[in-house]
Amino acid sequence: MEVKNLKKFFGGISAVHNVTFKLEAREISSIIGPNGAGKTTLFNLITGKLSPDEGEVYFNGENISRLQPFQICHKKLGRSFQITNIFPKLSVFENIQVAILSSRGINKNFFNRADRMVKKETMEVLKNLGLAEKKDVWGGLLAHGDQKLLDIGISLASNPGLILLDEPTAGMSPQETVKTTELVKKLAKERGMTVLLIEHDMNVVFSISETIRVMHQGKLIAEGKPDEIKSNNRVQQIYLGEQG
Amino acid sequence: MNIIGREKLVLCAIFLAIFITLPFFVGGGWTSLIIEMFIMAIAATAANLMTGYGGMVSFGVAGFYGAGAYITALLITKAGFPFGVALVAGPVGASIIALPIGWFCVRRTAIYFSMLSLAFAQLMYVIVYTWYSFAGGDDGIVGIPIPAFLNSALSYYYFTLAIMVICLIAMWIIVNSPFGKTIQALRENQERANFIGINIRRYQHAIFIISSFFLAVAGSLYCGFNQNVFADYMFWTKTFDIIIVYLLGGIYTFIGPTIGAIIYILANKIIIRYTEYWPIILGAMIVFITLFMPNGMAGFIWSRISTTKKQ
Repeated sequence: MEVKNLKKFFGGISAVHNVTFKLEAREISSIIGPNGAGKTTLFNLITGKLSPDEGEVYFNGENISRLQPFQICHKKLGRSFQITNIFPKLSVFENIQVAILSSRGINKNFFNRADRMVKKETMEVLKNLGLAEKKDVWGGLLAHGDQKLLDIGISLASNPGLILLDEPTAGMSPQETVKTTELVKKLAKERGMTVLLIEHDMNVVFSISETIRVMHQGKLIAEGKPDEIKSNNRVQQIYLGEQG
Repeated sequence: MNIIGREKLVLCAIFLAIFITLPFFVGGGWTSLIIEMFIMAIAATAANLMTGYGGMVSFGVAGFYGAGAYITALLITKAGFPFGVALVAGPVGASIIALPIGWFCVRRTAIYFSMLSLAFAQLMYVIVYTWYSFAGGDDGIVGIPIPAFLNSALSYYYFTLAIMVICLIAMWIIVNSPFGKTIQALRENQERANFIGINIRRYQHAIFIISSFFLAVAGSLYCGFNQNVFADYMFWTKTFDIIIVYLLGGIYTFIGPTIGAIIYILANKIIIRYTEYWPIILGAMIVFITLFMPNGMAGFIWSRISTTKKQ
């Protein structure tokens, strides 16, 4: 995926300003930055929730910057959300199942029983998430950490080539965070998926990412390997400045 | 959740057996009353496809119920169509009307969707109400002939029962299909649905048309039952009758609206004998149900059954 000169204004404020970068296939990378840096807005621009004021997004060579979210999803670009975004009164099983049905385009079928469709595939996703035993529980009744996992699972269900995870471990316990990090790593490797995540937990960021990008006030200010980012003066300034 | 278990299958068989034998035990007045229940059950279940499954509260369901009734009536009286053909043409015609109306309505959400659907239904009402030369205006269309073999309460009873069973099975299949699951996902979270690749409006448009089709089946059946049609069938008060029925029965169970139809029409019949203040009692029932049985009678009964089973 490639992002070129992406710009988005909210009123007079430039939320995303001239952001340009390119993702390598099968790479896990992160975007970090202080609150309000424009990270989630960038995700919203890429996935079609917002449309950019200027600039383009290319995915597999195709310009997707003016497409609707559902169209972008069918190009095999999935995302999860910062604020948990699931189907609360569907069972955990159905949450995943409906995503698989949709990705295969069989949700226009009016006549067949859905219960047993794509059962194997759904259970496989649930096993990966460690949610197989809770499959009959309503999604909305799961604990917070499990809901975050389910959200990621819904995005994974459509078997995307690129997945954007918006703070996947936010609000999780340390154990859950480790589990989720391992899961993302494992699945990325197994499926040859490209992963881009927004994350505030620096342990997660530095343990998982091959490339890190830093955003500040809507601009991309640094890009590099974890070690390079750690020793980057500007980045240190922003983070220390924020704390001080 | 929606898997039809053995208990439910047995219950359905029992109900069916009761309804098949009932006319032999009750008088003609009751037969007509139960026909009304059947027709209301189809209408409320159809309307609930949108509300309970799709999360779209239409205030215009009577428009399509009335459209079915009027199309059937007009085809019989003006064009001399046989009853059977007119009965099929009603729902088909109403679906064709729902095509453009639904297209506009699903472009708005929540209360704006509800009000827009109401506006279209009221528009249809005004058209039939004021168009004397064609639709009879406020005189309606009266004395619609139906075939001799359906011309007794008993034969129309079985005819309606059969169509109700077919419609309920058809709708049951739809809500349990992948399409039905998708509609439920939309009810739960439209944004998330969009991000798993679902074209929200297209699916809402589809369920709008399907719902209108079955609403019109009910309307057309009522046309044959009453042999008169009036503009009231499209009026917003009819919509609210239907909404009250599915709320009484419960919107999150498939059978809820059917149970609601039985209770509503039965309660109306009994209460109206003793007092003319039926709407007050109805109002009290609605307050009670929404406060203490938010999932309606059906939801309440199922939760009782499942707790006693666990004990």
